[in-house]
Amino acid sequence: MPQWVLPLRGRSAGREPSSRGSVTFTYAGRDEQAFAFAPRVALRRLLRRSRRGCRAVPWLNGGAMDFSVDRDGVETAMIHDLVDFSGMRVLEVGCGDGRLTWRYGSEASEVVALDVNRKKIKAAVEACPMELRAKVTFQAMDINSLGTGEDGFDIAILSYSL
Amino acid sequence: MHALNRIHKSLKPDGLLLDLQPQPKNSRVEIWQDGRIHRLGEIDQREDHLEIEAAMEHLLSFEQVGLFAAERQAFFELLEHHPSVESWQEKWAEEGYRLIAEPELLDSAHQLLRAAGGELVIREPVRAALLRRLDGDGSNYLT
Repeated sequence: MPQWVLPLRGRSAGREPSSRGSVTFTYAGRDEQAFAFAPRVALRRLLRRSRRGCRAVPWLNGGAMDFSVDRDGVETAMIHDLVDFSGMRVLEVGCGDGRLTWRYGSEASEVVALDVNRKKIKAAVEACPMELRAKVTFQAMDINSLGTGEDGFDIAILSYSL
Repeated sequence: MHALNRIHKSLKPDGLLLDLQPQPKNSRVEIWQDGRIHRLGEIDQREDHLEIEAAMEHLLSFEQVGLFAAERQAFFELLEHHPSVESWQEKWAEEGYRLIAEPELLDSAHQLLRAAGGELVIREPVRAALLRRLDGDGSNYLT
């Protein structure tokens, strides 16, 4: 599988990959996959994380070794196009294993993520990136069990769960 | 209380609701291999379409009674990548999804992957709808 490291400095830094492919970067020992066409949000995230010492390794499409969802980042780009999550207090209903939560969590000020599936919530808690742990709370519960003290969210996300 | 009613209460005035929902259309199955895409056909999801349409109607009814106002929407395809047909079947079984596909489609997928590797990709049509909370009192609506 061909792979190369995106230059993080110099004239080529931040440029979209010239061939169609996903960008995967490791951060704090955890692989995260970014975007095929490196939209503006993805590039900003990539450069921000590269300054923290992560390595960017683009992969060509078709090279997935494991199951993955939205490897090309289309869903991620769409939700960021619709919503500016900066500083928002987010309620996510049907969060599952946190797959979508990781896509916007770094921009939000706080996330309360619910799912009735306890196993998925456990997986989400275990997989939560270090930098999100202080502000993301996963709870195994139905939305109707949410206490009124938790109200006042800027945005609610119904994640394939209506 | 219906979930949408509780969500309405949980939002600030002028808060937003982002609803990500599959569209009532069949997902398509492809094999990606060596830069080529083999389009194998669709999965039969007609049973799910009824539930999806009911959910969309429900959301629309909340707009019609003045609890939410539609702002924007976008349509896209959510791609699932699987290393094998078995991975796909296991994952969907784990999620509780029904996998109804023609045997010929599954056979073709098996053969292609066995012959030259690659991955199986499911294209699911999705709608992302952004709505704004309005100040209507939702407490008496649909308990």
